[in-house]
Amino acid sequence: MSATVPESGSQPTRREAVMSALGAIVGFIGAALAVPLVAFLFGPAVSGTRPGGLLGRSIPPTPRSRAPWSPVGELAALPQGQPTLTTVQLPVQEGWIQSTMAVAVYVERTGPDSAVIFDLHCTHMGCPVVWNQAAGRFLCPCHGGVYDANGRVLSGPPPRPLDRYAVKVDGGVLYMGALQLPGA
Amino acid sequence: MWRRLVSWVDERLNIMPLWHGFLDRKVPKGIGWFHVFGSATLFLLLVQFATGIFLTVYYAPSTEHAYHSIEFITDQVPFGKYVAGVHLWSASMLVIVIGVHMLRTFVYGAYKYPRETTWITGVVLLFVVLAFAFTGYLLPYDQKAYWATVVGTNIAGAAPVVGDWALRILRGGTTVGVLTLQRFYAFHIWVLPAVLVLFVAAHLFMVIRQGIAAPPRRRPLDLGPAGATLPRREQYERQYAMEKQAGHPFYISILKDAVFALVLFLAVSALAVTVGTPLEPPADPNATSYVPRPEWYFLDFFQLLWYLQGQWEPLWIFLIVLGVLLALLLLPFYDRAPERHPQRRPFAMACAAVGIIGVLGLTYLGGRKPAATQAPPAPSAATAPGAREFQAQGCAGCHTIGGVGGTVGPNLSHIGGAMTRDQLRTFITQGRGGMPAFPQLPPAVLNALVDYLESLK
Repeated sequence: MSATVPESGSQPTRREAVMSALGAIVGFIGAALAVPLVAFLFGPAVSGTRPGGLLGRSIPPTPRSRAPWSPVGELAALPQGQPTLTTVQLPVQEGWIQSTMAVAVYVERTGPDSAVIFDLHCTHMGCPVVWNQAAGRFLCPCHGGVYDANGRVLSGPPPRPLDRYAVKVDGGVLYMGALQLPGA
Repeated sequence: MWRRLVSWVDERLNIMPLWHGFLDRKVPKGIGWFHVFGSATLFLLLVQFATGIFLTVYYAPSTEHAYHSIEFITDQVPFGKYVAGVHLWSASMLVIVIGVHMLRTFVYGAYKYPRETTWITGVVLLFVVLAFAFTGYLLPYDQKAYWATVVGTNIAGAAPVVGDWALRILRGGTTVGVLTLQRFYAFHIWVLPAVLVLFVAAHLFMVIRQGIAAPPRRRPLDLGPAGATLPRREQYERQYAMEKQAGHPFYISILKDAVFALVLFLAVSALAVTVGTPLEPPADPNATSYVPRPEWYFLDFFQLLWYLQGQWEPLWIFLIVLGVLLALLLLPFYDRAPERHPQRRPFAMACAAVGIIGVLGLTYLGGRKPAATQAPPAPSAATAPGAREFQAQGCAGCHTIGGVGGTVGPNLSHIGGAMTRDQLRTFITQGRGGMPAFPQLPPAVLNALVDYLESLK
């Protein structure tokens, strides 16, 4: 079994032409498959978002509510000036699944008809922050992030205050709205 | 019977020359126990494939069922604990064996000409295996799985410009849940194995095509007076032919590979039977008492996050990951000196030592008991209330005393010798630098804390 391709003559250029055609066909099929496949993989996850800035950021993994407002409870029943871990029932859609999920948030009444609602994830890497009543601080167990009762960063690596949800009070009932992510 | 079958097949396919060419080909002298880690990696990958494929028979990739399907495997399926345990422990073993394999290749300078491409495919395989690990440990959907994925995907979000997209592509949106588990499963079961098989095939093809690199010599083999004028390829081929001349057939080395594979198999089996697959409670996105900790091979990076602070932290994280990736990938291109013997590469060896000490040190620091789960040691009964307050107020989240606690703030094990009571009091109530102020502490608590801290000398 020896090579059958001659060393010279018109054959090599013919082979080159065939190879080029082969390359073009393979390239076309590859690209024609790759575009829909990449869009298939990325599509729903990134559609409608813009590229980020020079500094990346964490995003809370909390399920997003499909409803604009969800009731948290009677505002008057909440202790003032003290964040309280509360679960709120949110209508949620994940892909093909619609469900109602209990989502934990820190709720704090700040006045007779005002309140703030904090997401419970540290803005550094998303670990769950713990309200330490004795110290009056939110503490993150992962890398030492410390926040005050207003969610302001006092110490450690968190790059921004605790993320908040929109709130409204209607008829004495506190409602929770969308997550207020900076720059979103 | 077996011989007749072999000769029947061989008469048709003429395979024996290939088989003998593979087994009888000579390998250089000195290919010994240090070289078993490459084949050990291949062995453990095969174990992963075998156990992983069978695990999918019972595993259900859904947030509702994943955890219970793992419980079913380990508690009810015959040998389920063993199969899942071997999959888990050989994954951990794989990370160690790959590390030693890379280290051996580095120390022997085997990534240099003409084996640059083997090194590059090897580095790609390292990151493929880490991607396997990252996607794999979400699958049981226990607490560790969920929270490690929250943190891991947020780390991807630190990348400039594309970070937001990378995070969303990994999670399948912003929520860690149904879609995240489904795509991690798809990557773990289909995408990564396909990539792995391609690169392992390329890696092995290169190893067999070029032969195993001879152990480095302090002085290169003498090619005679004309040797130095020969082209590089010619010089290399002549020297490698001399190395092989002095070597032994490959089948002799295979025995060492097999013995080491057997040792690994027994070790992994023993771990699977005795320790099994430790499962944490089911994933609870609403848990606030949980202290996230990654699998041991990511602890070094997790610990590194203590030291990167401030506004530019995301960029630092990105640059460190990118830097490590490029430093490894491009090693054969920026280290092109022909010298391979470790004693003649002091700078390269020093870099390796710093790298190893760094990884081991960070892993050790990251692996200590999670902070703030227990009160630090108190020197006397009188100061015990202060030690309890130290823990209750969350001080141990940042400060270490007697080996327990965080590292973001100064170690306070001997603070009593460095500060007076008044200084301590001022520091706690007013804060300074990274230390937040705690002005609202009741006097009794403050006094207990100061008593305790002052007693630490």
